[in-house]
Amino acid sequence: MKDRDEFLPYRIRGITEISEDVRIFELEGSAKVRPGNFVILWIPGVSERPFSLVDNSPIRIMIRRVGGDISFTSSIFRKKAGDTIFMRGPYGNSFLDFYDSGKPACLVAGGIGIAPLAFLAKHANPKKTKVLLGSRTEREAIPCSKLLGSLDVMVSTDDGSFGRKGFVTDLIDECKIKKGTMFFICGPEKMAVATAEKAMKYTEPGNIILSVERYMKCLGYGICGHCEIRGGDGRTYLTCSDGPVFTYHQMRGGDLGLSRRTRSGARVSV
Amino acid sequence: METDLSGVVAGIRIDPAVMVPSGFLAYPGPMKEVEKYFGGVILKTVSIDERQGNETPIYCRVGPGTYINAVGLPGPGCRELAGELSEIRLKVPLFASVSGNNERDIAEAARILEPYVDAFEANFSCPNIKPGENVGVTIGYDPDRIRTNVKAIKSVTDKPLFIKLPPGLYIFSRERFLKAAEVSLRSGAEGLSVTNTIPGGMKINIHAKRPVLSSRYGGVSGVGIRTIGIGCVYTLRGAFPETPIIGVGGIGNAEDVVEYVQAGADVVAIGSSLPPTTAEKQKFLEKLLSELSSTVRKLGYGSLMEMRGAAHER
Repeated sequence: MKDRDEFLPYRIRGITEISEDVRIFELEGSAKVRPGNFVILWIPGVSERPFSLVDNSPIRIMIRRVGGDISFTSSIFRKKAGDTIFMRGPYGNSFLDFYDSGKPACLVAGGIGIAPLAFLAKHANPKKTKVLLGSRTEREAIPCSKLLGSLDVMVSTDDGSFGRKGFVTDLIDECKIKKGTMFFICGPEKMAVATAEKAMKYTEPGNIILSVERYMKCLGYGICGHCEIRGGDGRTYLTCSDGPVFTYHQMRGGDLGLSRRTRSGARVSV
Repeated sequence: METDLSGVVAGIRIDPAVMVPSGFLAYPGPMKEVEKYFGGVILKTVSIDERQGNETPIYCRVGPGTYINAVGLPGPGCRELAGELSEIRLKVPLFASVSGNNERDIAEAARILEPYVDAFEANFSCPNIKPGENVGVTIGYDPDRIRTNVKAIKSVTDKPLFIKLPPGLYIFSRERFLKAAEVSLRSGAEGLSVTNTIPGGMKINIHAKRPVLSSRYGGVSGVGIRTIGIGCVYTLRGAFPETPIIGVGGIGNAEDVVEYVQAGADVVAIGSSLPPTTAEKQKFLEKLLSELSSTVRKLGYGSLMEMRGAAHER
């Protein structure tokens, strides 16, 4: 991208329906975006929102529709192939800043959290990588064989309608994790914290890597402070620029899983 | 001998004389990460009640160290902020920036925050106001409302009060700008703060053929407004030789700090030039402070404040 802060137009080349509320939008062109980075999509007259990519060449973005008809994601869902959307970025750090191809890796996703991890999986050593994917029901499960190629994948649903019955954390004990494995986690916050706690049985908190989501206002500039998250290490981080990828060593015992800021800045429980 | 980079405003020692301006980093947590480089911080403007602010995009970077924004005064409300201030204590002097739709609300916000802060800044200059709102520039452009709001705040606190004046007034008429300053001081404010963002900035994305900001217009901050900020400080210092002045707007390096001080600032604040990550911010500020010391020495002074107002001397 010429200037990462300028919105540039991208034509939608194709849209793949993953489930009723999840689609992958493939854009024309490529982008210098790394796994875990985020970009800002803008629909003029609606708003802008941050997303991580599933791939950068071609650019593929997995989006789950949330909110009512006027929400940003509903507006994107009304777009068709050939339409244009606007994108700036990339921002933030990457899973690859932490990934070590010499160590075994376990990628743990909750629902749409698979998006940036599928991008990481492209760079991962297939012989040393396992993927654990959890969702609440079969309806919400993301069919991921195409995304993850030949990687070793295990799936769970809370109600047992697809894959193993139970939480994705239960899979960790079942899949013979080696000591010193690096964990890469992305998903709902409570799930991410539960997974990280379980992973502590097998590895150091510095080897547990999580992608964190917070309400952002300046969206990547690191100036407004709205996306701050208190770590458990006594420090405060800006999710949009110091993150969004952090180690559990940084996050354990802090805000993660407990509190976040809303649009106004009010703090609420996660 | 170490170069003295401190400044004093209304009896509060700010060392170094560089602050975080209102709106940047917003909350005590991220400010704590950089407080060792700053002599004081000014919190993000807060009102009595929670405010959502405008829909994004509310920030747009339009060039190096230059933004337009139309944030629209979002905030959790002063009670929530007070709770956070009791959890995270900063070591440097803390200024609360307050706003309110009427005198009662702004005074109540100040009263609630009073135990946690060392001083107040009243935001009479936010340009991103929705129709019907009586905050920001709608106060700063009206001497009667400046008077009633200043008196209301001073009725609940003896702590120093700085009035952040609107640069639009200065651009329109220096006489009216000075009148706003004079009314502020006569009504009980101890100091002045200039400048807020300059209203009316617009960025059009030529591919979308649309303004980027959701509210189309936004306040301009950063490098592009430094000359206006310097002019505001110079004008105020010329008229009020002893009044404490906080200078802010487009400071990106040590020489910019010195320029503000020579114009008459007692302390300055730096925002838009700060780079994105916390580590980059720390590195940037460390370099700036070290260069500030050497610049002061190179100019033949032992302390920054020896140069205060030097541009006015004949």
